[in-house]
Amino acid sequence: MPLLRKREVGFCFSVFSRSRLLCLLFVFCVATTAQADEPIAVIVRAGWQQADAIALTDLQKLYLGKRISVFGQRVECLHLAPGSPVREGFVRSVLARSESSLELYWLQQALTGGHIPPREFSSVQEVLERVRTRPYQLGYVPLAEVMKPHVQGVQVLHVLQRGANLGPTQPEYPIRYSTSISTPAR
Amino acid sequence: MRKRTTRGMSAGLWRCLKTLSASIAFLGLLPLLAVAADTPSGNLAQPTANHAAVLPEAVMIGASATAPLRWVVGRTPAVFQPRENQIATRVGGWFDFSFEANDLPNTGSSFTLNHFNLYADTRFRDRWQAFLEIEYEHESDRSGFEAEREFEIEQAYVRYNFDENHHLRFGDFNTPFGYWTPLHWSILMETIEKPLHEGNRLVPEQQFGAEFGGNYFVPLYGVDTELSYALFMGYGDDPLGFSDGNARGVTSGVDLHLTFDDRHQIGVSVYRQKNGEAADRIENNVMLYGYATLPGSLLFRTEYMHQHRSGGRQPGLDQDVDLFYANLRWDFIDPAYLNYRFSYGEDDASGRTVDHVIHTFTLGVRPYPSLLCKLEYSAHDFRHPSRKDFGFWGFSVGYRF
Repeated sequence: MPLLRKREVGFCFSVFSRSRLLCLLFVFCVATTAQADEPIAVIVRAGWQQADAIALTDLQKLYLGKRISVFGQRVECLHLAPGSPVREGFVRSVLARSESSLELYWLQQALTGGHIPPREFSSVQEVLERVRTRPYQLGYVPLAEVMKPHVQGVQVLHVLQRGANLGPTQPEYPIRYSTSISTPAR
Repeated sequence: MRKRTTRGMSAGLWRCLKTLSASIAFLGLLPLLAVAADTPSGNLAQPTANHAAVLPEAVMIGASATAPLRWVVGRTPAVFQPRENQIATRVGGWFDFSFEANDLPNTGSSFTLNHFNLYADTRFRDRWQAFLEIEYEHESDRSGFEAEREFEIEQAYVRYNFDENHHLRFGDFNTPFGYWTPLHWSILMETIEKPLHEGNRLVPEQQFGAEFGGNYFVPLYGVDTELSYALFMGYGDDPLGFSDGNARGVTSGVDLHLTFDDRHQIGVSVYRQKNGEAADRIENNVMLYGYATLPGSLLFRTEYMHQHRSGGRQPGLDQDVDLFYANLRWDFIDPAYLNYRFSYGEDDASGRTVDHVIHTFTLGVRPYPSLLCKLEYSAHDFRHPSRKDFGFWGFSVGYRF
């Protein structure tokens, strides 16, 4: 008599293969991707003396159009276009909204003749270039982009949150975006 | 209650012509104002560098070497970015179709273009704004409210901003009363059906008059708080035909609301008018309203309205009415939501005051940012034998452009 009948062998095999498959999938996912929160730098053109640190609530009002001036100047806010993970992180951590609720907010403003949305740009490089070359522009880009040696002419603002003055390298810095870091699978 | 009569073809044509001519005249008004105010003052009016090259979607109108003032028209809000000596107009709009049916006998169903809305928003140096909105409206009476079919100027106002927090506006503007009335467009709202106070138009959607409004940002117990206010006066018997309410003579009102952390709001509005369609009775209205963003992607909103009536000559219709709704919206997945609304109120739309309860269930999906689809069922329960209970089904698709 065989140790296991055919039906039992099939059952054991299917259970083993299913669990092994799930384990492999999990290990693969852990090995290949990891979530990291990278800081987003709020930038203005270098040399703007009054621009030093900006309150998170002021940043929110500026990007929702509720205010149009900061540090005593009328500023133009620059947004990245929808679909960018950096924008997604900025919208979540500064505006505390989802993309669809932000869309609805701007439609509401358009129909009531209300606030004006910020100008949108399709790439981080465009934002950097515009901030670098024009006065009183306020933008945001990944901190890593500003730290590149060839990037000059912009200054990074600190963020004021609940009385704390936070620089983008500090762990409590609130404006971040999630990025998937791929590592080669062994 | 407000009575709408079916207009004849000639009256409709006259109204269309009047609307169009008023629109053209209105759009021409702002350049004159802008030329009159062509002096920069303060930080608000400080232009940044000339950015004419970065506006591919804009169309230049009237640009010439001798005229320093230019008029730029565009479809996106990018037209409003600050430029030197430039008037900017943004044009846009939306429309929605809907299928509506109820289970009352001999009412059938309908599939119609409910709304077609166009707006033009013209601004000059953050100080001056002219806003024009025209609308074709075709709403059926299957949801229990009166049918509407008209072509009208929805809003037409000129606004002057003293600074970034205070403004004055004149013309035809949405009544700042509660949450729903100033934002009543179906493309913005969760449901197809309106709540009772809006469906029965206890307060006109628009005022023809002047408003002084603004907001302050004040930290309140450590919470970032926005205090918004509006004081307005209107004149119901609008000789130009802009206003479409039931008010006669002078109207007045105040709205005050606090928004906490951009997540929660409480407010109070008061409004007084003489109702020309109800034997000139005096109506004093109070609205308490608010919303709260709750954990789990839930949004709760409520409005309670009391209308105190006096001086009327319609026995049975001159008693005060109270109306209330509570709305719970669950954004269970980013482009979709489920919504439930409970409405209760004293309904006198049929000429007799009866208690009316409505349970409204809606599934909304926004497959693209510019598209909103809603599927809805509502159960109407009248606490009086003179009106028959019914259920309403609706499906609508709205698109903004």
